[in-house]
Amino acid sequence: MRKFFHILYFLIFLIITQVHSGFSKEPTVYVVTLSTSYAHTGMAIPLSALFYQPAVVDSNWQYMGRPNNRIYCMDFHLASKGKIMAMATHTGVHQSSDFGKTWKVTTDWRMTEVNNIKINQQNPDLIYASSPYGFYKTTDGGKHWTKHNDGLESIDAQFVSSIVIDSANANRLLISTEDGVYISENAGNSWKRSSLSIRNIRIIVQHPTNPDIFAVGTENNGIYFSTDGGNIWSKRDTGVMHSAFYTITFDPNNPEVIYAGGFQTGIYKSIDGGKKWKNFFKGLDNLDIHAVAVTPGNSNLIYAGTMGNGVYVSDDAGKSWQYVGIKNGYVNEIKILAL
Amino acid sequence: MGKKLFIFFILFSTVVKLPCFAQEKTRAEYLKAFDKRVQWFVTNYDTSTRVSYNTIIARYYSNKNVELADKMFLELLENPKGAMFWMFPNISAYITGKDKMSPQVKAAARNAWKTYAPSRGDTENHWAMYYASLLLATEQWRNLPESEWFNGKSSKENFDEAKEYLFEWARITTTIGQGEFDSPDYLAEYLIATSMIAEWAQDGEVKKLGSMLTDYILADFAAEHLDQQYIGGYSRIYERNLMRFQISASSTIAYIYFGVGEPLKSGWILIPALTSYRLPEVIRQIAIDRSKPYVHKEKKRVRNVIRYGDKRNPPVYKYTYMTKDYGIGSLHGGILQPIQQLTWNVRYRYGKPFSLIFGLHPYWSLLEIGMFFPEEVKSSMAGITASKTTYNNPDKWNGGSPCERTFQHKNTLIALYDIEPGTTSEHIDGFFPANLQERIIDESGWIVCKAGDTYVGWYPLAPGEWSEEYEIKKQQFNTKTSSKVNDGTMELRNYRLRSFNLQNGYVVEVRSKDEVGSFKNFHKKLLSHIPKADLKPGAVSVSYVNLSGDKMEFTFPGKRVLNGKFIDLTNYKLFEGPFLNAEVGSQKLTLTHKNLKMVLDFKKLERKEYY
Repeated sequence: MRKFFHILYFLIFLIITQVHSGFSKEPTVYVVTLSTSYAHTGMAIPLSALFYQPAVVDSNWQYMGRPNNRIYCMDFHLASKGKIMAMATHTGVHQSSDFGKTWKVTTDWRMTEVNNIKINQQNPDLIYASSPYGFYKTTDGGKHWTKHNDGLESIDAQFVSSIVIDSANANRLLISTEDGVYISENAGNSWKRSSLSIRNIRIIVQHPTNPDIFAVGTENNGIYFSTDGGNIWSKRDTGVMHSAFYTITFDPNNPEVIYAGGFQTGIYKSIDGGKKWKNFFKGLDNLDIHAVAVTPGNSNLIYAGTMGNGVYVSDDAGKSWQYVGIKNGYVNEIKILAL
Repeated sequence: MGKKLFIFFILFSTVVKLPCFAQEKTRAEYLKAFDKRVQWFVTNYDTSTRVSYNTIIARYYSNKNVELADKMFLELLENPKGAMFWMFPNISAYITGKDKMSPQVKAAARNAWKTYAPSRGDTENHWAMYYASLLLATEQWRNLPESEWFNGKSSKENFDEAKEYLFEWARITTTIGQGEFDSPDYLAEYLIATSMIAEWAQDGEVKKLGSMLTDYILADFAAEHLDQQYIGGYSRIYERNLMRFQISASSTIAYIYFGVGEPLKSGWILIPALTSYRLPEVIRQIAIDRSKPYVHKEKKRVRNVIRYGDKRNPPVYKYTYMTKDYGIGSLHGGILQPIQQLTWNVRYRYGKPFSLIFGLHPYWSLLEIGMFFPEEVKSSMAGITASKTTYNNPDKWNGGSPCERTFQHKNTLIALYDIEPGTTSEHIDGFFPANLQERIIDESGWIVCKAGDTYVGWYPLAPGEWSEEYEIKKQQFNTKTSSKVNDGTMELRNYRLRSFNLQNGYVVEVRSKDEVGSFKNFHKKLLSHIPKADLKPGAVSVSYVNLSGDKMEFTFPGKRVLNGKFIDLTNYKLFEGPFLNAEVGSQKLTLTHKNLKMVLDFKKLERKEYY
């Protein structure tokens, strides 16, 4: 049943991407940066935040703002062709309803260091956000935000680092926290801890076509997978020589191919669903990887974001890399959208 | 020769004109002298041609060459930067000069708040300055729609949020204590925020709050102040400012507001100094009356712990002992603030600026960074060390440690350390300035120091090694002054006592000539007071009968026994001492000095003075 729903959603997604002309016919690469040079508060932060360009081997980046913010993450509402956008920043949630031309900070002093954001694609007024202080949601497009830490009792459990809306059931959410993986069955109103005993989880992602499969990257214990919807977890680390992973990406064209990166890791790639991994770093001047994205429709064209050296691209499916700009960029997320 | 004489004459004339340390006896004398100090201070800026917000503000204030101020303002508005460090001088300049500046400047200033998006920052001083400035800006430009502000919020939305935050900050500060507490460096940022709203807020409640908060933070400083020096443990201090207290803005605050010490002109204080705020007499008396020794205790709170902790804001227990010659103060130990904490020190009047002795465990870790900063922990170290360059330096002179705890009773302090192997660093350090008149390493184990009329005894519980450290001559305000090598351009600044025992500690005794008579007598007395220590891993302890006959027993990390009675730190009040008193949760601070009394009641938003 879960698979049926997911295939349905996937078909809808494909239809949308084929039918709508969107704000760009070609896939567009969006790069989220904490800053473009190390900067502490009080300094000018040159061109931090959001950049984009067509998904080609190029370095012609366009700047979308917002300056002077550390941007951790962003999300689009696909059905609106990206008209509705939201960003998670250290100053709160910034939202745009005009393709990023203007922005409004929809949160107040209560929500700070917001590090992840997800828009419910069926209802863009329903948005989830996370921070070191817990989980938040708005049901009215950002007019009001409420904190939902029921079940997230400890300080470490309240440090939420990423959010997944289960593609098979939009009321089911999974979050990574410093205490482990937590699951909500009621759209984030309350939480229960999964059986994963490992702590300090930095990222959780869902398989693009099999909603039962999830993967997490941890600060100290490598990569874990679940094949039953996030309940039971096992480590998959054959070939893995590092411990801290901050990004995991399934190839949307072939989800058996997975990329991962983290602290001083370079790029790890698996071609068998995470069973075995191989490390690649040719051409990378910075091995601190916080973002990897694969181009829809072109599995060879992959982007990687580094902490401090901007963006690298590979046109040979990760074997080699070349720098493509955003000088000194501390890249926290890369998204490639084909609308 | 004639030219040199002329320069000397000019310099001498300048010096003698400065309103140097002259303790004003009456309130009227004080107010008159205060105005004179402020005028001297302002003159440093309103005659300057350096393009800066301080120059602009001072010129608008003094009505000196307003056209030049306009020109400078326009120049700075072309490239706004600095987030809240831009916001507060910008809005101060605008309000000070809005009736004098050209329409072009006025329009440019307004436009900047639409087009430049300042960050809100990530610490309490940032937020205080951000919201204080934003509130004032929204009052200057009321009823503007969302499209006219950098953050997409209307004037009303921004005003409401700013007011709410400022009141919430006041509530938590007066309920469980200030977060970035007792920082010689960051006191200024809070004073700027509170004095700005006290002066310029049009909202009556905010204005009152600003005035009361200004009283509150200056009273806190006053009780722990000795001759321009902040006494005791600090939440945050830069290493260079620790060595040279005059660089810290708090020393200028002491000069301007308390009327003590040498004339200093930290630019941070210009805006507060220009406001009509005047220090209440009771606070001034608290700041300068050192006729009787006293114990002053405080409860503060740790900055928000975001992971690797049990509590969001654990308490900080602070103990200070003050005399007319010296003050010694301590935090109870552990990681209480990230990066720039200083757990304890003794400061005295002699030998300034190197008028302090202290010790520490120079610790750094991913654990500490993860506790307070939200980014991925391992990647954060590079970012931290880019701005706090000494953070991961084993020779650093600031920072807290989970392996450090203190026990202080009046002028006796015990510090204990229990360091796991592999911890950064595997040693502890003691700082002894080179200008001590005596530094006797006695065969009893005591290190006996003389600094004018203040005597300090330091008994290491484990052996250590001495080394010398130098500082660049002349460039005394340079940030990178410390060196272990003298290449001829350096002069001796201090001795470092380093001990490599992982289980370790020391006992520090401080007395003045008034308390024990001669230095010789102090030395002699120490010889019959030898601490008994047990330095077993996991059970480090010491038993010691101090020079006053009090028995102190201390077991790491938290068992403190004084004369057989267990010390329960959780009983600490928010403030407790002869001058300042406040119960936890009360939101009410009572200030007393002889027949002067003032009550700051933040629940009622009410200040009452009694004479």
